[in-house]
Amino acid sequence: MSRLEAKKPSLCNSEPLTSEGVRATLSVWRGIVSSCYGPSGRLKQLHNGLGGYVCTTSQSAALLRNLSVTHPIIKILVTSVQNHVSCFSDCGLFTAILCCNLIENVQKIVLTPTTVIKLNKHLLRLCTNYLNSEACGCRIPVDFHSARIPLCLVRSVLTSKPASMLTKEEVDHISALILRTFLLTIPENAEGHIILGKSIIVPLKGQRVTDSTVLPGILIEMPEVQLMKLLPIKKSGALKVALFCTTLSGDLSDTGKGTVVVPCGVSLESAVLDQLLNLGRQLVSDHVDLVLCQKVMHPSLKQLLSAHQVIAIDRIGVTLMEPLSKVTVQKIGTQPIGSLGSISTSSYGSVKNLRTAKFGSKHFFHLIPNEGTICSLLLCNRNDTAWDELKLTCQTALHVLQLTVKEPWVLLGGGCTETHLAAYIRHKTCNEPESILKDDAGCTQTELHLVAEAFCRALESLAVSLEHDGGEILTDMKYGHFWSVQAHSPSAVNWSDLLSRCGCGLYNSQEELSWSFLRSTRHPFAPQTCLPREAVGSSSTLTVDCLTAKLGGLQVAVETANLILDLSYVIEDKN
Amino acid sequence: MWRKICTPRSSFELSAQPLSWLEQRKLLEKCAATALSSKLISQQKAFFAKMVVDVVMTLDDLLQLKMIGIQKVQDGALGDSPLVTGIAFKKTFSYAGFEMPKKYYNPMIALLNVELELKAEKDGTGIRVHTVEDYQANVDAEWNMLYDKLERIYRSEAKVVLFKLPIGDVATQYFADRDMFCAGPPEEDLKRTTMACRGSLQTSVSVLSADVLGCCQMFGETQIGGERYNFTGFPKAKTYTFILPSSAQQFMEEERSLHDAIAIVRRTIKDSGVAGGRAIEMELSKSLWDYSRTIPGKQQLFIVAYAKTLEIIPRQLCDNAGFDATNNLNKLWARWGERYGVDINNEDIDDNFEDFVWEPATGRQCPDGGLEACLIVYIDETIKNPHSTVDTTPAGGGAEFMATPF
Repeated sequence: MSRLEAKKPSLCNSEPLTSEGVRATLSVWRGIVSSCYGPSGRLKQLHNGLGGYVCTTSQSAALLRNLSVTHPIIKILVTSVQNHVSCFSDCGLFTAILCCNLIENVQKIVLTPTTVIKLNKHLLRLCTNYLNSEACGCRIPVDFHSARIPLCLVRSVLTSKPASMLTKEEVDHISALILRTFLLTIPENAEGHIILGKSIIVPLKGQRVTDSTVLPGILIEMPEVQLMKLLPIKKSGALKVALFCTTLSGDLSDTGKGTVVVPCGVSLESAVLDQLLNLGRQLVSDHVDLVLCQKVMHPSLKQLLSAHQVIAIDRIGVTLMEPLSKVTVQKIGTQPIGSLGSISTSSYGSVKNLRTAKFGSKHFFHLIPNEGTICSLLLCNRNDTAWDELKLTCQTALHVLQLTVKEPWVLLGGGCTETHLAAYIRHKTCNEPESILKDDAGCTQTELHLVAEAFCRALESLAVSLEHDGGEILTDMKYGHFWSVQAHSPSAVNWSDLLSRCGCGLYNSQEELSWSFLRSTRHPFAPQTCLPREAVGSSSTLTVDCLTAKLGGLQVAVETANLILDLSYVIEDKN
Repeated sequence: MWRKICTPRSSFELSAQPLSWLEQRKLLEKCAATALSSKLISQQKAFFAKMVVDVVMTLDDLLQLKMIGIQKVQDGALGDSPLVTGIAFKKTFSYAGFEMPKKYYNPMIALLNVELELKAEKDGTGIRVHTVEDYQANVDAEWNMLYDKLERIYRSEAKVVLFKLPIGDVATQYFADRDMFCAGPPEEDLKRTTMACRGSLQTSVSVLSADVLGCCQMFGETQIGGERYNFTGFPKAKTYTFILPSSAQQFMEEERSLHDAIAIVRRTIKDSGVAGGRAIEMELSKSLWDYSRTIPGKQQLFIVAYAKTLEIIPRQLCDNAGFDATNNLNKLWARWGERYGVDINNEDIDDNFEDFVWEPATGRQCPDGGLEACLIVYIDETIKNPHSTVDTTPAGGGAEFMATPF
């Protein structure tokens, strides 16, 4: 009874965004996510106040998962970004930073939230239409006949995560590996409805990154002693496989609170063992070559099977069951065997081959499917922190490739899309405001200019977040791309001497361009649309982002900002 | 920049010329002696180095370290440590008056993970009885089950029974009456015995056939120091046990030193060796100094900083030994490129490669250290999540994030 507490009344805060505490919190949150953004982003170390696992990361998925947040507004932000990341895996930090920038910039202009929200929606529609149009100047088609653009995409994802600690050679190696892994998950018969396969990441910590490799099929880790005992049989042709998802250990199931009446002379253990041995004899008579069990197998059953040259592997675990079902399945719809009763012949599957493999200090059984889209990516890195980051990065890269197959376009990365888009919006709002407002009589052109300027500043601040070393950011007056120059460079009239390539790597400074500081006010200009093919073809390494993920991030950022700007009251229940 | 430095200079191997068996043996003994020089048992390093090399060279191709056990015994001189070809573990318990033969020859060994005690097979079960006879029948049934298991073990013709789980008095006496030896060795020793005798740990006594039992050449008991040991001989299975008799607790803790020496010799057999005495660090430092002179611009400063950092290791070695670190380092700089390192015995520098002060090449992990440093330098904020307690409430939004810049 001492723990009973009187119910406290709920707390209601009106106009939460006007509170200094909320603004300070938003500012701190924005500082955290901005400092993680990009290839030269800094890392965050997250740990519990009570001790335990320490997470060192710069990726939004890991950062938001381990961050404990209680303020309602930040919770909305975090939940939206996590939702986006769960759908697209990439552009989580982009979404978070853009959303914070929008909220902060809009608060500086004296307009009602309703007007701002309406105009934000118009501007979002403008951005979406432009990025999806043929005339978009920062969109590149992905031709899957050539590996160049997909490799650039994967390399961009890998290099944007500094905690993986990859050298240039390692980036090249892992990029090629990820692309190969992705290609192994594409079914050979591409007819009708295509379902992409799955790649299983197998950890090998403490090895060099260049030892990573990819194999078709599934790797089942085995202790070395067990591997030596279970020597694969030399058989030509496919191996017949029985996959069990139930326990074969002979343990009597828990009867709960019921009563078990056992007649005299009956031994429950023997009865179960007999049932198991009968099952074993049936498997032998059905000429099964390989028995896989998710749980534990009774040693007597194992002995019986090994005496008849049948390989028995148990303790596989639930994680591998789904890919094993796909690899061994004979026909669609076959499930793993879940009972100890008589087994129908259609329950068996087959694999092409079974080998043993050794990587580092680990030993594996390697199941090679007849045909299939399951592969195992053996990922190596020096230590736990770098390996965790690399695993997350590889999963992001694979997901991004899958999204690109659906929508084969990429956007220019390195901040160029953001600056280009900002230049485009400024040009459109100055020269064709009626095309944006259309029939919306509720907003004036002045209001549109104010909100558009805040929107563009938010995009440009996002691009500036890529620079962490105090350098200056410039934009060119032709393409509207992102250019950076090192800190403390001499102020030169001729920028082409100090600059080399733009953020995405498409243009170099030898072209006749004029530059100005990104933060300076300048006359709006029409950035060149329609990317010339020769420019894309001539540049050796491009930094690109997945269109679907970025567009999704843009939409989530604007909609979340609108939601937060629309908040009038926050009601909190204290206990 | 540091990543760039780590990559091209990550290995510095002095490829050893092919050696005869005798030369290789001498080399390995010197390697083991080097590893033991910095330990408490350095006075007996020659004695132990020879034993370590004997053991490692006769292991099989896998060179499994877990096939080598180390037992500690009170009383006795360290230099009298016997090396048992096989497995030795402390004798646990025997009945007074039970005269176990001191040795069994070619016994079958049963390895069991079964509890043989008089208690309910399953906890939490209840039995309803109506008469005294029923109760007696239950008690008899329990005894019969136990005796049945013991009978099965006896009929399997195993002479030595090793248990992982505790066994009761009834089982111990039963085996004693039938001239069978039973013991419950520590888990590590049991694992090694399982691997060496080619048996398998049984969780049930229902099927104790000859193929699941192990065998050894000899099983016996002997007195070492103040304690009695049981030992098994496996001449074919390549397993050894060091027995360290000593009076002082500190010396008995030096099993770690032996383990170090065993690991070093094993590594040297598997991989090539490099000069010890921190000659590697000096050579790497020199390479980096030379490389830095080819780099124009401020990046040179980073490379020089890394080169200077490497010199901290021989400097620390000298400080720990009580030498004049600056003097020794100056001498090493003068002999750069000549594979010189610190000579602890003479308070000077020497060509450690010629003096057989070698270390395994794979022990040198400079690149990882540099990359770890890069990872730490990249961290700019630490975020501590608030305690998950009922009483404490976070004081406003801003206090949630405790950003502590490095």
